[in-house]
Amino acid sequence: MSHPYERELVEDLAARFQVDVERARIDLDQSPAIEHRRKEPRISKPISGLALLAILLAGAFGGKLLLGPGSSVDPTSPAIASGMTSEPRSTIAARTNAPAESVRLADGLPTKIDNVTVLRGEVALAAIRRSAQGDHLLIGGWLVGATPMSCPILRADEWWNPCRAVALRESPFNGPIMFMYRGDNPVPTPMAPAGQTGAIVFSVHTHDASCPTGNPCEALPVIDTVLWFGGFVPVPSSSGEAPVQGLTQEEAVEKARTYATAKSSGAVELLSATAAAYGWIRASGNEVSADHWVWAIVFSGRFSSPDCVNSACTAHPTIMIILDYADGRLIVEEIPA
Amino acid sequence: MAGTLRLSLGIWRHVAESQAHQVTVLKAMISSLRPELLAFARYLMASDDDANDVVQQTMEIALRRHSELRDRAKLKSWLFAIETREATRWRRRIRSFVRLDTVVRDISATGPPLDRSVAIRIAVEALPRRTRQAIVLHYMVGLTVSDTARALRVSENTVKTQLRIGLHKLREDLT
Repeated sequence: MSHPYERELVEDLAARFQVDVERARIDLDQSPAIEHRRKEPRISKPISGLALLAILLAGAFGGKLLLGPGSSVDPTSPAIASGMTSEPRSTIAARTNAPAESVRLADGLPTKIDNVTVLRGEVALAAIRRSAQGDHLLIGGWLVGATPMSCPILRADEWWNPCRAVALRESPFNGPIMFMYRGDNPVPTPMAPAGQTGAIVFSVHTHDASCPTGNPCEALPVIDTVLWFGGFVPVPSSSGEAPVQGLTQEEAVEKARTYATAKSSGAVELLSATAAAYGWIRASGNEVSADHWVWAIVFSGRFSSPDCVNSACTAHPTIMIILDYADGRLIVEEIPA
Repeated sequence: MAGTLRLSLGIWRHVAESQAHQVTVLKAMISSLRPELLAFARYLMASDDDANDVVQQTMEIALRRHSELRDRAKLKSWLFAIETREATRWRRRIRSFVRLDTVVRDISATGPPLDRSVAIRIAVEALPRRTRQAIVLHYMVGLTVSDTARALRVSENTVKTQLRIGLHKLREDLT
């Protein structure tokens, strides 16, 4: 297993299975008659007899042996409404395309599910921080496809690593990223393909008993289950018009040149200057909201990484300076660009 | 006497309610694993109907035998072990029947890069059955080698051999 290709292959196998599970979940959700027996007359009499026997046996167990998502599970259970339960939250099954009367959407996300408020963004983060042991919260957001951080190769069971967490934004391409952890008993979650996102609502708890010591376990949201999933959609391709007032290109370049010159050990040369929504410049960044307009200016020169502590560091040939479109303040610089 | 009887009935009712609650929770836990069971079954069976039937059968058996599950943490490996055996039984049962539904499900791709993801599925499905079962249970479902061995009713060394052969074959097919 030490061969790098094999490690990659093993990761790909696990990722492939997540795709298969998601596909299966969608298929199960879309076929309410989960207890379909095949319609074609290909079962012989002995097997029909076995099936009948199974049905009779199942009858002895309450008559409801076919537990399709949404069929066996009561999402309106008092446990959810109160937000408190001592039982595993896997008692709630994932739902997609939930009935309109129980789910009201705002910006594509449910505001409430069965009268329990779906929290998102800063409100969700605050609620997580305030949560107590035994609390269960409904957290909504938009799945982030690409992991916005550098991740090492992980073992399949490293569910407490942030790289294994599910990343959510407050809107399809906006807002700070929240991480929902999978805990030691991970439930399957949809994986957003590149260029796509999906609205999703999780039931989560904090203070997880299996959270490894040394972590802020009281503030790590751990997924109990997927309560609602709206399906994947392409990440919106438009972020609106630029603000009426802001720096001109010349002003932005001059301001950025000051920063670039200070960072370079040689002469700097302008390569590009782009005004756009921040999300289009740095898809994985979260310094400002993704629809915040910025100037992104790239220079060539000899730039050292910010984490470089000695003179032996390799000089990078480019730098990108991102300035606030409205007032020109420095938002972030990236080396290399 | 009457008081003792009332107390006994009360305890009995409490125990019965508690057991019923446990069964309800277990049913929900089993239900939550249904997509994974179906995804796995699709690697074992030639058609989607067969896969659904195997999942259904697995869940029926799991519900019937829920009292045999001592450790809920082992629910997943227990279920997949049942499903593996049921898939084998199902294949034997249907071997002598003429198939009327031979449409193999097209798995639409979401997630990792399309070509690679599809290629992986095709390569896995091309593996010999026992090797495929070991690869899927261990590397895809995430069972340990020991749980995989229990599910397949073989030794851990046999599983390790199958995994080694499987990875080697996959590497050949995918490069």
